Amino acid sequence: MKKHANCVYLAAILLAPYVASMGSSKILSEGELNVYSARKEHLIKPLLDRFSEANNIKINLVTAKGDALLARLKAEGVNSPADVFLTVDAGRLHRAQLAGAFQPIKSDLLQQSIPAHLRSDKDEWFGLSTRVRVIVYAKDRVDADRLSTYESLSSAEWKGRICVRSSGNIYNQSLVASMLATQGLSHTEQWLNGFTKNFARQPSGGDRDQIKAVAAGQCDIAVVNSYYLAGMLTSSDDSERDAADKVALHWPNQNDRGSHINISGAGVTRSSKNSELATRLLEFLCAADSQHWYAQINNEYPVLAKAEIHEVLRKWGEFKADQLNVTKLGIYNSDAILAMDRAGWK
Amino acid sequence: MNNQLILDKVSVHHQKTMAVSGISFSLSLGEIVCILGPSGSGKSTILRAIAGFNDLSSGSIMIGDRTASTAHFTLPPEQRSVSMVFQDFALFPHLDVSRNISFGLQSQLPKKRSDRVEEMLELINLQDVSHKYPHELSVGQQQRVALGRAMAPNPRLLLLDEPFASLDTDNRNRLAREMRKLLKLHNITTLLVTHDQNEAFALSDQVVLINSGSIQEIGSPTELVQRPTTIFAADFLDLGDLIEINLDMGGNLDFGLGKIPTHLSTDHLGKRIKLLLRPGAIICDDNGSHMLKIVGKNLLASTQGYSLELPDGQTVHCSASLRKEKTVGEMLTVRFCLHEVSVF
Amino acid sequence: MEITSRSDASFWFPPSIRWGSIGAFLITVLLVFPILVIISSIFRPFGQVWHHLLDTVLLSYIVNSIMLMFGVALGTCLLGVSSAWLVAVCQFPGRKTLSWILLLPMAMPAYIIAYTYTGLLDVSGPIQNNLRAIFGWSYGDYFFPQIRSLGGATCMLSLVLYPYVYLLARVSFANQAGAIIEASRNLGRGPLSTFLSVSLPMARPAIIAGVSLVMMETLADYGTVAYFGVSTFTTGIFRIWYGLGELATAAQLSAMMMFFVFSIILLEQQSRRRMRFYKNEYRVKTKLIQLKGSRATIASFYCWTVVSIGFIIPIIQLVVWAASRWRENLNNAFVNLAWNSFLLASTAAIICVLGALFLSIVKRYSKSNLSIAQVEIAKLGYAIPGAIIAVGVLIPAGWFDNQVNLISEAWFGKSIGLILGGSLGILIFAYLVRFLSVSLQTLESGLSSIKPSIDESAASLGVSKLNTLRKIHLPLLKTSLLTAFIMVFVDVLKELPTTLILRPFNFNTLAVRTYELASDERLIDAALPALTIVVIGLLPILLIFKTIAKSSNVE
Repeated sequence: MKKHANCVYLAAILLAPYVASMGSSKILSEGELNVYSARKEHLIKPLLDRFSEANNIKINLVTAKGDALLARLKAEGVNSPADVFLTVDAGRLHRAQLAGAFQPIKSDLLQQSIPAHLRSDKDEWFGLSTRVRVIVYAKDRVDADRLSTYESLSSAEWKGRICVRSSGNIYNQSLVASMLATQGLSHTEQWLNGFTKNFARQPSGGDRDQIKAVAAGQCDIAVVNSYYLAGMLTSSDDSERDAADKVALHWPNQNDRGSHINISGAGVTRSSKNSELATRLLEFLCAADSQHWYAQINNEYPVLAKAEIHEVLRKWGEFKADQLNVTKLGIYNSDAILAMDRAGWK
Repeated sequence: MNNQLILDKVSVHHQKTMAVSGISFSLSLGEIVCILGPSGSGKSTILRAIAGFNDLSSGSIMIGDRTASTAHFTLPPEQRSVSMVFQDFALFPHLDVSRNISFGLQSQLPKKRSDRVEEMLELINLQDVSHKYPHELSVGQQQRVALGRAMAPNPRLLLLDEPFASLDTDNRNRLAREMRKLLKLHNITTLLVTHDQNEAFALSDQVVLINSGSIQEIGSPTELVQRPTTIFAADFLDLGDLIEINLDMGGNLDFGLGKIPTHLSTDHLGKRIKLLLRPGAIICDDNGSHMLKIVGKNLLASTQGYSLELPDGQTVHCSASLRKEKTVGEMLTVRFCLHEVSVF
Repeated sequence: MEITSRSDASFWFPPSIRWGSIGAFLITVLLVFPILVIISSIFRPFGQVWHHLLDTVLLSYIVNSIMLMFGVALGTCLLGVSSAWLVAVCQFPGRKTLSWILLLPMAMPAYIIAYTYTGLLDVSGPIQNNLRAIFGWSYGDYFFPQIRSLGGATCMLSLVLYPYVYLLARVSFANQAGAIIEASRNLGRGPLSTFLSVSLPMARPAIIAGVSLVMMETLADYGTVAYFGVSTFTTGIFRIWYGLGELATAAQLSAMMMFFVFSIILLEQQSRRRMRFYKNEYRVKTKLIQLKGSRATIASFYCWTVVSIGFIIPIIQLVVWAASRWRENLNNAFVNLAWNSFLLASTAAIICVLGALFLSIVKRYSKSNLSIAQVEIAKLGYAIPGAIIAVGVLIPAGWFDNQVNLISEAWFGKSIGLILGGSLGILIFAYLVRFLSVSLQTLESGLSSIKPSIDESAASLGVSKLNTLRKIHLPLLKTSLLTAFIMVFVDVLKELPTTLILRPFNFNTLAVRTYELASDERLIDAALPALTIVVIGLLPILLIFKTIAKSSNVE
């Protein structure tokens, strides 16, 4: 008999949290907002907590890959509990818009603060930060004067000297998408063929790994997002800082369209029963304070022009960013992948 | 000498206890020898030592002209040219009959190998099931496969471990005779182990009787039955009734029924001896001179067996014709016929 | 004892077993549904993307996946079988300790070992940095194997997956009848030849069971191959889904992958259709081969090397990383996270084991081909990447929720929100779909080694089926049940994509945290949750291994 009592007890312990959580996922009180975020928890939760405290509402968060969350949104349909969908790439926002996941937002504040090319034309989503794809080079082996544009990286001069991560990475895809949007298909393919021939190794690892490979001498230049370099420069790990010190940053395409940028951004879902509160959350994320934190925590650039930026970023100075409407990154994303496949960019 | 196997004062220890000790015997070419003994007597240990699975603690084993085991050296089983048929046959469950048989022929050329397999299949008369797996065979067929598999590599010595234990009694004697024919026909030197004397007698030329790890007697089946030299042999082989009795200086036995003269050797005169009374030593005869009380009876195939009590309380047996049946408690008139008694 | 024999027991079973069959039918229908959702994608039109795939990358996906799968199968076989054989049939110093230590790499998620070895061996890692510093070389002056490669991925996966093979092969070797090994020896085969031609083929069902789990897990792996930049079927699936937004095509690729796995399993079963594999009924322990001198040292050294590379070295690396940041990372929230993971993994494991027990018992008594086919399909879940399973679960769950809401709006004039979507129930259901195979495989092999005659004798004594299960099967299955529990527990603990996609609001696990930090390229911060996954995974392994060791020959 005692054995049975133990089993029941064990079952009760195991099941209690589930019963509790199953209940909570269903309650949709007025003072509650549900956020689907492709931005990692530690890069968004503190800000959400601040909003939740200031407005005395409860915010529920679930994070995952953008496309997985989009699939979940679609499957849940009109009954989805999500109010806000946040991604780290314009292409995903565009895709969600096409899928009818967003509703248009009327907010003067958002429209004024965020430049037109960083939000959707129907005001269904808004950019919240920008990340720049830059060239990083070995200080001791590369003459900075030889660096100019992304396009120039396809020349034979860089044969066997370039490190870049796989074409599965969204930032590579959006870089190529931006080229397709500005240069057209044949020009881009030509560039891709030359560029992939210059790889020092099979693409692998993340952006930090590319920077480390430059520092270690496996390659001379790498194409990475600037915030990874900033992250390494401020890292608590000595070897990361040492590696970052051996390389320098080059802003590409300063004399023409500007360096390629992508955004993280968010929109209010069509299924939201709290669109007014959700809009207020977006406005909060766009305020100067939030913008500073939001960008700084990940060494990104804020979309709000007057917001403060990180010290490391200030040291790098001003740069010219591509003014291409980021919607185009979404439109050309698939074509970019197909082109990269054809060029043999792993 | 064409000795195929010589055991010289072989002892084997299991952990720290002695399993067998001082075992010596030999097998010549084509001879079939049986180690007979009760379970736990160490007979399997001897077999396994010969196969190379047990190390010796002293003594030596020669197989052919090669030293196979000493206290310091054990030739690996695979180099001994000794094949064993296991009690549960130990057929390879993942191989069919042909491949079980060809298992020991790996060093031969494929052509020779398949010829030999065919030959063995014919020998054991299993050609039509050559592609079946062991679990698809009857127990008798499995035994034949095991035998064929062991004989296929033409071993110097064949070891059989309780070869008929898995078969039903009806078949045992017949199969034992068939096997002897087969082994003799191919002149295969064989050592088998069994606890069943009928099997041993049906199959072998020589019997090594062992008990508690040491040899009691060695001899041909006939010798063993006719002239057992140990009480153990008489008892284990169930040769008759063993009774204790006094032999006076005049060579007469005293059953408490009056003196009965014998022709026993003079060594025993005046001693208390153990006497083996074989069936036939006590004959039911209305003209006999002695009356014994019937204490039990059991019906045999064509005669009636009686258990009779001697005056001193020991029990002896005799059989009588079915026609004059008596009941327990009655007296039976018998006479003694002590020509073939053995004394210990 | 026969392992693959089917029970002839159905004739004496009362019709009430039908209810069991119906229950099993419903459960498997439910479990198979998400898989069918994915398989059904085959019948949708093949989009434009297929032309592109065929023209460009599909062949390399297939070639890489096959090479990876067979490479890992070979690697785990070599490591798992050799160590299992040494530990099961040889005597050498440290054998007893090694017999459970060798299991430990199982607790190590493949992507974590990949991170640690990349940290160590990459061109910018300490080893190559020191080589360059000491010898004054620069990159290219010396040869160093590239860790981020197909070969590297094969090694990493083999190192953490071999315990699946080891676990099953060890039991099989230990239970082999001594006489069969001896029979081979005195037919002229040496120890090596005996191992190759008798022990190994007889252990084949166990090894194959282990290897097929390994192969499925390899196919479904995303973390390692994505990190190493190896394009496989799985990375292709995600590339098509995430990159091109073509979920339908991604599902079609998954379905093709499933057919591939299915045909391999079928082929193997067909090839040993007529063989039977017996266990040692007499429990005559095979005498351990006493290794002496240098041989014993080599055996011991070999096993320790395997464990060191698969477990100890990466653990040291994780500890070093975690130690440098533990003050910042170890707090109440973290403890909560660990507790969440533990509860989730144990609940899922218990439910999986119960489900598998029910299905395997019903399969034992029922000979209907339908129920057997269903159980076989239910096993396929293991080969599908977690994210795809998640989608297969999301779609029907969303449909169900929407229907319920439509009805409630029509009847009561208001919607009631999601019932399944975003609940822990649906997450655990997805685990069940994905990991049932692991527990089912273990229980089936355990159950099949119990003779049908035992059931029959119980029935002839008037014992009901339920009591037969409770009094006879469960005690005899103890080892199998515990093994199944560990395997699912550890798998759920490491599981990432399904959890990520299906979890409720505000619900985090260690694997999610590790992933978020690691994919942000903050390996050092990721070390603490990663290390905790390993430690929590170790607990049941150690605990249960003790129980198994006590009743070591139960199976």
